[in-house]
This record gives sequence, C-alpha cells and structure tokens, in this order.
Amino acid sequence: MLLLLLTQLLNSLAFAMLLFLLALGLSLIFGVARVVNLAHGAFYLLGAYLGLALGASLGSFWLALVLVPLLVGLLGVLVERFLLRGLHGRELEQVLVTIGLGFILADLLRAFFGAAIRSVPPPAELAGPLFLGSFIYPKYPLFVLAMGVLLFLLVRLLLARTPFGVQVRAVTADPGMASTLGIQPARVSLLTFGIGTALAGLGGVVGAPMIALAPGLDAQMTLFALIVVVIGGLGRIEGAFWGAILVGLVDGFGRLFLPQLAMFLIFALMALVLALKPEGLLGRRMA
Amino acid sequence: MMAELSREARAGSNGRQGLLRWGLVGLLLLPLALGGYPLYLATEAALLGLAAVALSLLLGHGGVPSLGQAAFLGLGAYTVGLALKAGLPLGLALLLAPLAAALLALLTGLLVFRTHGIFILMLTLAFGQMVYSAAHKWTGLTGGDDGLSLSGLSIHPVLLHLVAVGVLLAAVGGLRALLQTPYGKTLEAIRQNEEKIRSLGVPTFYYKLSLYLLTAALTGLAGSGLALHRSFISPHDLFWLTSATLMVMVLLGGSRGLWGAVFGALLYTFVQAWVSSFTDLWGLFVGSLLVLTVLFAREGLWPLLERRLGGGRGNA
Amino acid sequence: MATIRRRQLIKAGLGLAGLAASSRFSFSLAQQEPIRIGVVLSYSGPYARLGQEITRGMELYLEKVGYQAGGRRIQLLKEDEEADPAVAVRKVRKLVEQDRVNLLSGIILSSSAYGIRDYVHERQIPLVIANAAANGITRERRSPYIFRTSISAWQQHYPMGPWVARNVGKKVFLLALDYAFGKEATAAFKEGFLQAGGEPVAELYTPLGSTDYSAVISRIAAARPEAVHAVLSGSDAVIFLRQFIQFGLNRSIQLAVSGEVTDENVLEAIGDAALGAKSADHWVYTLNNSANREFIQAYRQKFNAVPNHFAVRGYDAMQFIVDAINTVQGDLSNRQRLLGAIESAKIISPRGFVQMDPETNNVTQHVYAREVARIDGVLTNRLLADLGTIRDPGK
Repeated sequence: MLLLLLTQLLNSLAFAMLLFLLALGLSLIFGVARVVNLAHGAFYLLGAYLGLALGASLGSFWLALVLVPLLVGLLGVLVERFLLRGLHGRELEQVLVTIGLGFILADLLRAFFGAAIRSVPPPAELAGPLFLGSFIYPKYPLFVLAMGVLLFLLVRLLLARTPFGVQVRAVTADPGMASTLGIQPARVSLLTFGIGTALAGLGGVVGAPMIALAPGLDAQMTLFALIVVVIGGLGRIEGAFWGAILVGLVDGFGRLFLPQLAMFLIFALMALVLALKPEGLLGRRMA
Repeated sequence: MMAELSREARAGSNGRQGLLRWGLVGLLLLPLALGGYPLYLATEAALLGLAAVALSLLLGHGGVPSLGQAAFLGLGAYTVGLALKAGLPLGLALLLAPLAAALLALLTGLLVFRTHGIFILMLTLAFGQMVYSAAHKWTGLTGGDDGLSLSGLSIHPVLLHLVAVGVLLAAVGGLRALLQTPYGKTLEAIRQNEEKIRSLGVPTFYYKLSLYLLTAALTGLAGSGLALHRSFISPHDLFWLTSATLMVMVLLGGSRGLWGAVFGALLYTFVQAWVSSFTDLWGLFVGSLLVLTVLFAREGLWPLLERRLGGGRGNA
Repeated sequence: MATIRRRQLIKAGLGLAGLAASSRFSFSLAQQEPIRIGVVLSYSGPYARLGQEITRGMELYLEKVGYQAGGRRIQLLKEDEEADPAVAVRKVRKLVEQDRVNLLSGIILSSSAYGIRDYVHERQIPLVIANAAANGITRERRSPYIFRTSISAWQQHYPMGPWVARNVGKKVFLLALDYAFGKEATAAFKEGFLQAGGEPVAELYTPLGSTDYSAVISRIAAARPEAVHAVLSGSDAVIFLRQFIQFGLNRSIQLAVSGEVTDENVLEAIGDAALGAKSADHWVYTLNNSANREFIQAYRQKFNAVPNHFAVRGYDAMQFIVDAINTVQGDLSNRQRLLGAIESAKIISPRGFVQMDPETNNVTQHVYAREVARIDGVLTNRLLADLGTIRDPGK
C-alpha cells in the first residue's frame, strides 16, 4: 500500500509538471500580454506533432527538444505581431481570435498528421523502469518531474535577476507605469508571447512520450492549463507551479480512489478555490 | 415585438436598420416555405439563437463572460424530457424547464458573482462541467451517454418553428426594452464601472445575479425547445464545447444589441452545417471565419452589416 | 485506340440513353438513377480514425463490385457525425429529406443510433449500422428498419468470459471506460466469466479521454490478479497499454482484453510492447478463408496499411446492402421486399460465417480468441481459438 501511494505520488507530480509547463506559458502570456490564449492546447499539440516528426527524421529526441520550442515560439511571435497586437485591451476579441486559431491549428494538424493515435517512445536513455530495491518506477516520468522543477527555479531566477525579467514583472504589475519607466510593453509582450507558446511546444515534446497524441487533445490540454492557472492565480509563476501540483495530486489520487469522479473532483476543486479565494490561491486582485 | 420593429422602421434614421432586421426575420421564416431539412436547421438556429441572445445580454450588456451556458441549456432539455416521461402535460413541462435553469443559476450565481472577468469565465465553466458530469453519471435518471429519447412526441415542425421564432423575437424585443428601463441602464453602468456604481450604494451583486437568473431561464427554455425539436437529449448538449459554440455565435454576430446574436446563431448553424457536409476540415473553416471576423469586423458581423447596408452607425 | 474505344462506348451509351428515353416504359429510366446510400460517420473529433477506416472498408467493397448493384449505380453520400448525437440526428435528416437517400449506413456512437432511431423508424428508411454496439439498439429499441452488421457489446464480450476463466486465469481485474459501452461490455464478460467459475478481483471504471493511467496501473498492481480484462478504445487503450508495460506489469499479469483494445490502429501506435496480449473479437487477421485473404490483399494494396476490424465492419455493411439490392434487382420501391432481402442476405465475410438474425436484426457470427503477434512483418492479431457462433439473445 505504501509503495502504491508512493508510485501514485510520483505519477501525479510528473503529470503536474507537464501541466506546469503549459500553465506557466499561459500565465506569463496573461500577465504580460493580458491575453487568455485559448489556442494554448493547440500549440501544445503542434509541439508534440513537430517533436514526433523531427524526432523521427533527425533521430534525436534531444535535438527535437531544443528545436521544437523555437519553432513553436516563432509561430507564437508571428501570431502576437500580426493577429493580437492590434487587439490590445479588447479581451473578448482576443479570446475569439485564439479560439479560431486553435480550430485552425487543430484541423491543419489532423489534415497533415492524420487522425490516428500516435505515440512517441521515450528516448533510449530514459526508456524502461528504474529498480530501487523492490520499488520499480519508469525513468521517463522522473525526467519530466526533474525538468519541471528545474524550469520553475530557472524561470524564477530569470524573472528576479535579469533585466528582461524585471521588465516582465513591471508590465505584469502595471503596464501604464512600466511604459512611463521607459519599458516598451509591446516588445515585452511580443517576447513573452513567444516564450509562452514555446513553453507549450516544449510541453508537447515532453508530454508526448507520457501521454498519447490524438485529435481532441488540444481542447483537453487548454482546459487543464486554464484550470491550473485559475486555481493558482493568474499571472504568477508560483501560482502556476503550486496550482499544477494541486491539480496533479487531486487528479492522480482522485483517479486512484474515486476514478469515476476524477474530472468532477477537479472542477469541484476549482469551484471551491474560487469561492473561497476568488483571485486564486496565490493570485492578486486584478485592477 | 412587432410594434418595436415597425416603430423603429418608421423612425427615419433607423429605417434602413429596421429593414435589415425584417430581413433577418424573413431569413428565419423563409425555410417555412421550403420545409424539410432547411426548416429543421432553421428551427435549430432559432432555438440556439434564443440561447445566444441570452448570452449576448449577459456578456455584451452585463459584462458577464459565462462559459457555462450549456448547463442551463441541457438542464432545460432534461427537465422537459423527464417531466414528459413522468406524464406531466407539455405546458407544465415547458414551465418547469426555465425554472430549473434559474434555480441552478441561483445556486451557482451566489458564488460566481464573488469574482470578476476571466474568473467568472472559469467558474461558470467549472459549474457547467460539474452538471455535465452529473448528467453523464446519473444514468438511472438521464440514461447516461445513451441519451434520452422522447418517443411518441409529435409536434408539427411548422408549429414548432413558428413558436421558436416567435419566442426568439419576443425575447429580443422584450430584452431590448428591458435595457431601456432604469434596471437596464443601471446594468450598463455597472458594466462600465462597477466600483463607482457600488460606491453610490447600488447593490450591484443583486443586479448581476438577477440578470444571470433571467438569462439562465431563457437558456433553459431554449434547451427545452431543442429537446422537443430533436426528440433526443444527450449529455453532449451540456459539454463545455456547447458553451463555447454559443459564445462563438454571439461574438461572430456581435455581442451588443442582441440582434447580432440572432444573426450569429443563424449564420453559424447554416454555415457549419453546409461546410461540414463536404469537408471534415470544417473546424479550419470556422476558425478562419472567427479570425477574419475579428480582424475585419471587430464588433461582429451584424454591426458591420448595419453600417454597410443599414446606413446607421451600428448598435452601440 | 483507347480514344476510339471510348468514343464508341460513349456513342453506345448515348444510344442506350436515347432508347430508354423514347421507351414507353418509364420504369427502365428510373432504374438508371443511382441508388443513394447516406453514410453518417465521425470524420472529425476523437473518433475520426474509426470513421475513416469504416469508410475505407465500404469503398473497398463497392470498388470490388464496380459501384453497381441490381443493375444500378451506387452512390455514397458521406456526412460527418462529429462525435455528437445531435449532429447525427441533423445529418440523417439532411440525407433523407434533402439528398433523398434510399438507405442509411454508418453510425459510430451508440447515442447517435438511439438518437436517430425514432426518425428512421417513422420514415421507414432502412439503416445498416456499421459500428454502434449498444445492446439495446437491437433489443428493446429494435426496429424492423434497423439492422446491425457489426456486433453488439454483449456478443463481443460474453464468449470471452468462459474462455479466460478456463485458459488464462480465474482471478481477473475488470477495467473499463466509464460509459455505456464499457459497462455493457464488462457486464457481458462478467456474466460468462462468473458462469465458468471466475472471480473478478476488482471492477474499475475510468473516465473517457484520460491522459494518464498510472493510477489504474497502481490499483492493478496492488490487486495482484492473474489477468486484466480491459474495455478501452482509442487513445485510452494506447496510454493504458504503454503504461502497463512501462511499469513492468506485463511480466506478472496477463492481458485478456476487449477486441477494441488490441485493434490494429492501437497496435500501430504502441509497437511491439503489446505482443502476446489476448483479446476477443469478431475478426482476426489470420482467419484462413478466401474472403479474408482477398480483403486483406485488397486493403493492403490500396492503402499500404494493416487492415482492422473497423474496415471489415464497413466492408460487410456494404456487402449486406449490395446483396439485398441485387436480390430485389435494383427495385427499392417495395420496402418490405428490401427489408426481407437484407434479412436473408448471403454474404461471404472476411469474418467467416455471418448471418442476419431475423428476430433481432443483429448479425449472428463467430467470435474468436486472438493474440497480438507480428505476422508478415506487421503488428496484428493471430487466431487462438474459435469461440463458436454467437447470437445476441435480443433481450
């Protein structure tokens, strides 16, 4: 029983870190560009399929891990520049554009890669289980877990210590004030959108060996990322991190003990958090 | 309703806009002459239009971005279905449906309106999905994902369509009149600056909650109509994608003025049905339509039409 | 040479058409109209692949008969079910009222089948269901106009129960997706399994579209069964099988699953990992009959891929329809004759013996025990045992 709980704890945390990758991008984008990116799951799916294609043609998961986020991020930059920039401050229109974009991306991916379920094997180094005495656990989720934690620490450090990080925090806190300080919100917003979508793409590459690839996954991932961000608090990376862990744990242990109510539990959790703390666990009240 | 139309038609500067609205009503009624499938689709559009009008009021005039309308739609549908199965007369069943939806709105609204903006979106989504899960799990009552068939129910399609369009137009007229009352004006003011209005001592919470109840009841009514129309109810009607589709309809047509929602519902229903008949990539088409709409007709397609064809300045 | 031949053909064709037009028998002119078959299948959304495969099977068979039956041309009108029963209802109405189809076929979701049932029944349009498996479609909700040429959930899973109890193990973990098909299939398996002295150690239902099965795997590991009977499909099956192997459970626990889990589409996604998994289904790649060999060859030649039971379902749905149209010699004006012809259709299925049961309008057929294997360089299932001819009891 103890081993079962430990296994499930690791599983939940690994899935939580995947959610964190998605939620982090979504949260950054919301904080800086004030856009609720409902195409986020489609960027995830794009990353996953590109990872599949590049991984197969280049023969290296690791190369795909580096290249795919760059490509997806580039697309994100183009989307921000040519579709969203002109809609600054018009939340509903932006939502509509990202919904449309999500539809377009998802259908193009199905047209190009087919409707078949695809599954990506983990790289050889991370395939198979790890034996720790009587405890057996696959290596790949451990890699995802480590990567999520490292990324969290890294992004925190970047936000705290680098000039760009300071700009991001300034724009998130108050765009008007930031521009009077000589920061160009438009440029920061462009870069943040690129980084946010690149993170979704990274999530796709990392997530593909853990969960399968199929049409319809985009909407599911968008939903998950939104839930995490809302529970944790919008616009804060700590919120995305702890929110992801909470959702991952409730989801994982919900599936273990009350599988028929798993999805219900997550939404109930979200409703509960918002009812008690309307701006999310770690969120600030938005102006 | 008709009085409002003709009054506006007579009102000079608004004359051409009035004509445009008559044109839309004509489009809704035209399938009566065709019958069969076009009529079926038009009834579907009118009923979804009613739900879209409710959302448009909530979103465009109340500033409440609800992504949980499918719950009210589905609850209305199941209420009428189960009431009929239990042997209640149709009239009573149709009365219970909006009441059930409003009751759900009351329960959830108490929590929803403690939050703002995107959080409302997420909280309504959460409640919507909880209702969906319940409909899916409670197979003894709802039949689960096998759905609920309303066998043996026969309402003449022409009658159903006339009633659906009538209710839709009455709703648009009635709600537009409501927006002109002090209640409506206060809602508008709350949407623009809630803090200020609250500081004047107005209980904004109850204004928004009452609006939520009203729109939920209308959506529940639309759902009950859909149940009669399709003679079949499935949990899919409660799934969050149904809420998203309603939102797409509203934003496509234009979220303000309510006529945009009618137009959006009609346009989306027919275009989606038409496109999906010859390509499975209809999502690509719908997505492109959304992006182009936002790029070239920010307020939605209906205000654009009003400007171009109606000569007016569009609905503010 | 070729052009001359074509010209002559066109001339001959024109002559014939002229003859028909001038003929006093307008009947023969009507016969020239193509027979229109409306097909409603999911081509977008999570079941898009199923829709594609069933369509492939349908078109493969129609090509074989040159899109001709009873002296008339056959035309397929395909509509997207969009994985939504309300859309299925709408599309069926379009096909019937606007496109004036003579017959309907397809239907992925059982809820779609229930949703269109009353309409099809009242309109008296023959419907040949090529996938939807809910028992009730050919039981309490059966209609003389609705036939099922695929398989019912009960039929597919009941025979596996005794076989698993005798050949795999008596302690079995029951796992299924939490929806109607998962429950009906598990109930059917359990019925047969209990009769043969099996003991289910646990029964677990998981939400559709799960992205993670490790919790389920943990539960299975803790329950220490001899085998797992899983009813999953699509990405759920892929993720479950892969994680089952990642966690090393395949070393101590056998897989004895629904035919949907080791469908060739799923196997293609997970590779060799599922080798040896046992399942029950109404078609096996290695069935040694000429119809199956011909089907497999045609499929592989045309699509350069491994065939699967969905394609077989589409292939056979068209076989039933084409045979019935042949029997009535292309004259669909008499509904009762057409329905009778579908009931008594004689087809040579890749599945082996298949016959319409006139009482339920559901096909009586063989169910086989299979095992995942690599054959002719492709990943598929091989025949282990014939579990006999299975008829759905109809109640």
